[in-house]
Amino acid sequence: MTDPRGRHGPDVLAGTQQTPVLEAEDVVRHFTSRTLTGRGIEKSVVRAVDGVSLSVGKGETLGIVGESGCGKTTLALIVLGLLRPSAGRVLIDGVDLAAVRGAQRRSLRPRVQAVFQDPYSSLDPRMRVGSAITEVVAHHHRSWDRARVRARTAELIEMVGLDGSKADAYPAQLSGGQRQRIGIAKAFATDPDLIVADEPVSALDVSVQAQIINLLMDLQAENGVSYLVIGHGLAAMEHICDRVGVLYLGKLVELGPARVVLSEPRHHYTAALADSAPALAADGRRQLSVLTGEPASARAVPSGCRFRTRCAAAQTRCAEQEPPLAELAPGHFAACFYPKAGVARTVEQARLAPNG
Amino acid sequence: MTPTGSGSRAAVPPDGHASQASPLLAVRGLRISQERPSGRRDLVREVSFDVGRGEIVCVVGESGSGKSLSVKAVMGLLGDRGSLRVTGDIQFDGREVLALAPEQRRALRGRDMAMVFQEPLANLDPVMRVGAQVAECVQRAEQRTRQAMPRVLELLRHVGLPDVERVAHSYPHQLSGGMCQRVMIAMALAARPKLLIADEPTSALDVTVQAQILDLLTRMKDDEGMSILLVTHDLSVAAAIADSVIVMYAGRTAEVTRTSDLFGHARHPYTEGLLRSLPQRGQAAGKDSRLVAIGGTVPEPGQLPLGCAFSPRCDKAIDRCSEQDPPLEWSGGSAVACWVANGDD
Amino acid sequence: MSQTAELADRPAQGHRERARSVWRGRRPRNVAVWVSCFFLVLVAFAAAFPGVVAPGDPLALHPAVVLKGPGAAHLLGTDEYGRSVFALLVHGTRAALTVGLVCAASGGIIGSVMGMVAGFFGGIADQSIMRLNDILMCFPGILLALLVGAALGSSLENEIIAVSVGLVPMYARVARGETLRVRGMLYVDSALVAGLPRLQIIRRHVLPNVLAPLVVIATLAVGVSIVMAASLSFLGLGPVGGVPDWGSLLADGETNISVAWWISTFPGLAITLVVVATNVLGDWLRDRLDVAAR
Repeated sequence: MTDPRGRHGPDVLAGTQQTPVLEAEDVVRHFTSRTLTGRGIEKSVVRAVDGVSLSVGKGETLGIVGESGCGKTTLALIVLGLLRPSAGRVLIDGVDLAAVRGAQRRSLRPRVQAVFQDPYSSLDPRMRVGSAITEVVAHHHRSWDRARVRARTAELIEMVGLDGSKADAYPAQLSGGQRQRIGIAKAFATDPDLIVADEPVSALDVSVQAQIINLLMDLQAENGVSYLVIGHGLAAMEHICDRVGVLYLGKLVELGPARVVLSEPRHHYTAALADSAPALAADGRRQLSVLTGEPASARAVPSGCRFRTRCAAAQTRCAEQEPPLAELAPGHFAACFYPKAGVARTVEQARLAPNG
Repeated sequence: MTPTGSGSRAAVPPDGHASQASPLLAVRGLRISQERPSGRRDLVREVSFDVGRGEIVCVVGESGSGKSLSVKAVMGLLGDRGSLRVTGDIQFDGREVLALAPEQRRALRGRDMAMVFQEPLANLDPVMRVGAQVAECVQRAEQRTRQAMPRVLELLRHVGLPDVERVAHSYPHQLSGGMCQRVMIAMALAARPKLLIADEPTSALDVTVQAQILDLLTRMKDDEGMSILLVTHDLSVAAAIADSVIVMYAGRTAEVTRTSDLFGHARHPYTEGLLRSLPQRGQAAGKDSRLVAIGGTVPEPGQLPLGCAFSPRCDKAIDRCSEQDPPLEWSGGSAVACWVANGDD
Repeated sequence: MSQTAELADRPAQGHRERARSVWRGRRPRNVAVWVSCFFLVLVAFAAAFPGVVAPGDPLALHPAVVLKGPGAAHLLGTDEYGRSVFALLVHGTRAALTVGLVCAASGGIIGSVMGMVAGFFGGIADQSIMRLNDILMCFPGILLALLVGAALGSSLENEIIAVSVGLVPMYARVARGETLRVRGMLYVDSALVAGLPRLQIIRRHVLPNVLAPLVVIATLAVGVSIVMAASLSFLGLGPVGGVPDWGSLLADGETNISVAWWISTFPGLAITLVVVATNVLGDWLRDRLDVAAR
């Protein structure tokens, strides 16, 4: 029995309903801006995240793909607790972020950490990298003495593949890949259950990306940490993630096992993404671009299916009703009335998920 | 650095529109060095490649590879700067670019060669309407001030922009990144250049928009026989549209090859390593396999190792690799700078 | 990536090396900086040991030598009470420098804290602090200082308070701008995510990174304070009576300017030179810090 938040099927969890590390229930985040124009005060609402539900199990890697403006960064900020959702709930290890205060809230913080995209601005340029990690370790383990804190810092630095002597370096003395490793060490400093990685390798040299990807995966195997990876390169996502969700204009349009979603997509947007990305092993030149027009703005979301303005398969129904995220195959959901052909049933035959 | 080996010097003309055997652009032994108090430092050395007529050539490299600098040198943009010295041979359409005076180089840039940059919004004047900016280029190219608008609209249409009247009246911030990049391309096309140089034109864009721009570039090559020199860090972009690929590493050319030979027949260990380390789509390998990564990091220009710059990271390195920097050796239309690949002669 | 990005990718010099290079780059031809430094050292000495530079009581009256021009006996001439202008100037240096430094510092601390709090916390704190700042900014610094001075009365302490208040808006704006920039950096987000308390983040991450431009403003503020204080004194709102004061000297000289130009001119020149010297140093410091920070 699966639902759109993607809990594992019974064969994976063998009957134990383990609490997912992260659960997002219908998370919404709007940004309102009021501008004074010639016509008076105009209110415009950017629906950055417009009702996203997902979950990440223990030791699992969930990827989010989407283009600029899809809301993935906003979603990451909400999961990290840096932004409050306009509606919906975020549960960390079953605890609602918004419902707790004070000490209980502070105890939730260490469980979700982040690895950021830009290895340059994610480290304080005036602080030695060792001190940056020590700061976090000391705060998390307030009862530890300095020696123990320093030992743990050295441990973390070595864990990410760097020599202990690097602790005394300033960020400017390290390469992009090394800085990203420090960022990863910092993220692990609080023994988190979930790490949100926002495009962890996009800003790195191509020849170094594989090292960092391997590092992240090795650390997951050792620590059992879960990842929520915001990504870009479809090939890398397919490689790293167990499951992938595709975000378009603030809503999930497809969600399912990574390989299936990216290689046999059911939603037309996912298919367009997959086709647009140039693949390495090119079998001659083929037409890359299947999408026409510009992405619609999150300020003026189209009625019905938000992708219909660019979709070659759009029909009248698509403008009138918003398609729900329906389970087209076990664990594979797509929000489309006329999904691409696959082994699975049509949307009429699919069991609609409880939350729609 | 003259190419050795059998066969012609020039790249093999591609199928299709290229007619002549002599390349539009031939670069030999390009070296860009910087005079510093501590001595002369080479930022780029031993760069040699060809761009045939009606061909798309991609220069692929990471940070510090010198790809952007090399391409700027080709445009003649570096000669006037105080501290940079450019030497070598840059033959464009039969003329030696480096021997030209600054005004002649400027004329060349406006007419036969045009360049498109990475961040479209940053390269457009934010307080000037887009149509006016394109008109500036048209006026400069055609050397008259009247009646630029019809040509402006024609250019905007040509690059696939919808609703060209509205676009021409817009300011850059009112357009999306993809549209701005198309505007930049339109500006570059105003002079009907023979060679379009694009420095990471799609790196700042979404993948679907990137696909549209790449399609546009391919269309321009197919329909008009325009040559395109594209700089990118993304091998897959090269795979998608290039006829031949120039791989650069740490300030020099590592390999020059036809795209069709790149996959499966790459000869330089760096290229091979890159291809192996990049995750591939739809492969049987999934989450449970490790990528074959290249160890180490890219060296900085001031701190290149002795011999081949890639040798510390290379799993095929032999003794000679850490002693001598291998020369670029040509055979047919391709070249490799590697002792091991060239048979350690 | 663009060329500048490519070059920036390389690990730059380390922080220590950067700090060292701030000093290493001094070139002899930066004459203006050397001269300013030297001049300010002289002024500081005069402030510290006025009795050494100009022995005797500067305020003593010498009716025999009133309104004498600059010459061998009295370097810079005498005023209408026969007092040596030179002596008055030297003894007034301490007050002038004190005002300059204290105001630059206190105005700086208050303004910077305001700006940092506004920039970091945003929302209502930002709005209220910056609106307060806007009110302060409505008045040109000198006018603001005047209002405060007039309200509080004439004395050195009040003069200092008035000038400090006049300096606050400048600091607050810059501090806020820099704080906003740093706040947008990922390492602040990273610290927030790690759960570090916000005060600690401000102290350890924001402050060191916004300090550089504020230090530069501080050097310029020294000059501005001296001018503002002198202006206040000139208008009669400064210390009265027993203390030699540059601004008062200017005022005294004004009445006699047609017969004894030296009474106003030399204090004016002194003020100008000190301001120029601090400005030159401030510029140099800004260039140095800018280069080093990149």
